[in-house]
Amino acid sequence: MKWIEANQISISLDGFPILENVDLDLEKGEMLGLIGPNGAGKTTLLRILARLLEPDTGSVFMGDHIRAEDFSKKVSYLAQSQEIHWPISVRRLVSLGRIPHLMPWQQLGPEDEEAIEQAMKVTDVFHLGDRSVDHLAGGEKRLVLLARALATRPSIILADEPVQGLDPAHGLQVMELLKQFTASGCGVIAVLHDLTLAARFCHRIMLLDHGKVLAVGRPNEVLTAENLRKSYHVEAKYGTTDGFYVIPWRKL
Amino acid sequence: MLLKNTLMIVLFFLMTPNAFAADSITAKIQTKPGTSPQRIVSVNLCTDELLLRLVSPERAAAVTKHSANSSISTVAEQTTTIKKIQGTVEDVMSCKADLLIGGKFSNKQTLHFFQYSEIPVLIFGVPKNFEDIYADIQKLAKAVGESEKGEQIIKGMEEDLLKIRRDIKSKTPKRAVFFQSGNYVPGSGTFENAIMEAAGLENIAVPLGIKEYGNLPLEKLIEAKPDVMIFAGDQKRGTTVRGEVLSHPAMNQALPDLKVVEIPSSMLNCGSPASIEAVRILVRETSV
Amino acid sequence: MRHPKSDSQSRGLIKEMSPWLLHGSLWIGLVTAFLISIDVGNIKISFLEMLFQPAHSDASVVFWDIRLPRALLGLLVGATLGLSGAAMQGFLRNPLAEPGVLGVTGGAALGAVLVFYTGIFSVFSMALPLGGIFGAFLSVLFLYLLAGSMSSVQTLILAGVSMNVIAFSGTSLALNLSKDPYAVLDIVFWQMGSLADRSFHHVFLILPFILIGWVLLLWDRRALDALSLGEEAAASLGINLKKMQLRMIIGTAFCVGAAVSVCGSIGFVGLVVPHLLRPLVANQPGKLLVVSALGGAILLLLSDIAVRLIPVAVELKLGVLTSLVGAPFFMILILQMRRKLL
Repeated sequence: MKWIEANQISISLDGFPILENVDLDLEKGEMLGLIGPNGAGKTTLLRILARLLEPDTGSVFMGDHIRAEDFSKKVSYLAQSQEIHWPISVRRLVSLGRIPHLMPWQQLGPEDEEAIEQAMKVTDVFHLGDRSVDHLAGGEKRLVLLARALATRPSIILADEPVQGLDPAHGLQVMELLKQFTASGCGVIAVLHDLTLAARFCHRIMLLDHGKVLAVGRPNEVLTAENLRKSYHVEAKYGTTDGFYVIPWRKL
Repeated sequence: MLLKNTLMIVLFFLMTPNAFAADSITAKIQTKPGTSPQRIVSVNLCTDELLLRLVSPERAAAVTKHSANSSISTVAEQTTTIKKIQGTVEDVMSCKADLLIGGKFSNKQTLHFFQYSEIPVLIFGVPKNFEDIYADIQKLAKAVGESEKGEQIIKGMEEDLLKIRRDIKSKTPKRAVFFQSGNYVPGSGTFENAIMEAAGLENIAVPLGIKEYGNLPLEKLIEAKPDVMIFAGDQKRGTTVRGEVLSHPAMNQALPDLKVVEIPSSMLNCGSPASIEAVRILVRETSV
Repeated sequence: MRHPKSDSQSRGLIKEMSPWLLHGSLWIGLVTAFLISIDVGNIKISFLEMLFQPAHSDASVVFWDIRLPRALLGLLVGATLGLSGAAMQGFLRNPLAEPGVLGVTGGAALGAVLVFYTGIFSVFSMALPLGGIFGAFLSVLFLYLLAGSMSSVQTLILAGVSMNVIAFSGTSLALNLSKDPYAVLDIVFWQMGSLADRSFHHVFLILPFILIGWVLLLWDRRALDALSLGEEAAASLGINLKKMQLRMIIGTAFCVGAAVSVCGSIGFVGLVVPHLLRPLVANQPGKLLVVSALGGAILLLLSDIAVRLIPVAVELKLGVLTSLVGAPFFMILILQMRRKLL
């Protein structure tokens, strides 16, 4: 049984077609990388999957025990922008991830505290608990937001450019965390620009170009020279030491 | 919000004619010796009223539009044949006036304009008591050449007031308060106070130290325990939330036997012989 | 969004105040202010006199029919202003938002003035809070349409300015066209904002609307916290943004509209109180709501006490006092924010 099955998703915004007949599925325990040039429609697709946007046509089917009421408990969405409007403490921010599990009048219980603590430890931000989010570096902020997403204890994480603006160390840390997350059977869809990271960490990759699926499959199947030329207009170098990796080399 | 409030306060003070007591009367009379003015223009309701009691309608070239409104003017009937104007400079010019009279707080620009002209201008303040009214009548009577008539009117008023004074039965004056919009009450040095005293009433605002017009909070009103509450015209029914003072539960509890007297505002807008009627009403209503 | 910070936060660490301490102090403060408000008045009466005198004596009448309703109104209106200010700031994610600045109070005042002007009030007294609510409702609606829920400081302020201008013009027109100068005077004074000489009639007139408004605004405490992460993240956490916006609009309209209709325009409370109390709740917008309600009630009661103690020949209006204090505060806040934004 798959976590997500999306069929023939199409959407136009302001008269422009953004996505055309996109099919997507996410298996259990899988990290799917969503790649493509700017404007390919990756973010839009992710937002449709996160139920923030209604497609014009097509349907999205979530894994069988994700009912509509449970959606926000089982699916965490990590937006691209690191919007945080009030300078609250890191711990408080992470605890926002428990909101889907609480009734409006309920306070945080022991299970919630445990989830929060665990999320903060796994992302290595526990020591920042009392720090104001205003006083975090970019990398720390991303980790804190990821902790928030993990605190929900979701089955699926939808992440829009989770490593944008991060230094190599933090970038690797985030990708490793996401991969770890899938180890227990949960699923991740991550929109990525960094093809190297995508190749290394994703189980499968979907390449979108101008709203259409150009290729989907294992990294080495998708990131062929032909595909990269057609979509990104770049030439890449490949490597196989310790696994398959690709490094974009030259603009064509 | 602050700016708006400030503007409102300034506007208020410019608008209301009775807010300040007049201290002095400015006048400039240059009648040709031997003749009295035949085309008199008045640009103020109160001067309209004084004028039409002193001269026949033919000599009034124009009066204000307000004077024809019987709910605020006591000379409405006499104005039927007279031209009515707003009081602007153009209005006055078109009348070819040989005397212009007006009040201190309305149509100031017009009066100011003509002060530099050949036309004599006579400006009147707001009377604080009956003596001020007598002085105003004398001044105007002299200017229009009807000094005798003026003296007659004054004498009539004095006699009427004396008669009313004699008719007041009770020895101890009743305590009264004159209640106006915005919880304002007239204290010492106001025309309303003069009327109350002439009717043999004790104005509770005076011992409270209110000079001219002041604010009287409900608590003080209750503490002062007036026997009579006077309203002018339709002010008994206030417009806003605050205005319903008579229906405030505290009033009903603390002053259950309060006598409410309403005086038509036309008698109070201006100081004139008609104001004596106000005194009569007060005496009649409070001597029970 | 950057905000002016307190000292401990400038080192980056947030120390949260114990909620027991915070709420406890506020409740004590409220009770104290309430009691002082009842004690202060235009005539000298002691507490014991007021409570133990027979029913129709001066002291008893003053206490039950004048001072008690005044203190209650101070509490209800102050709490409303504080609460709605905090709610608007949380929802619009902007610390400059409050019903006065953004024209909601102005709209409510216009609604009430039209009720006065047409004379319906004397016939059907409930028309007054309804008029205020209607005016407030249109203002909030207009505001959210203009500025949207994700707006820059400039857009928001401009929306508020335009709303205030509209309200001011409307009120001025009504005053201009009025034939009765005493009515004009009445309305002008009413607009300045006051709690004086109201009665229990007024308390009961607005009480249901205020309570409904409070319930609607407090409903979304947690949702406001979720909104700290932005609209999309909040939606993904299960917050129904449309319903929340509806509750915000109607809730604000009900309680602010009703409060203003009886007491006139009283501004800046909703700006000052949340700003001062925000550091005490570690900047969490949801937790700020109840705390601001308490703080607003305390602030308004204290202002009303000041209005009665400051020796002035005429009655100093409450709205004027809050403006005199609030306007400079507002300016300082803007200057501080400008520095942060640069």
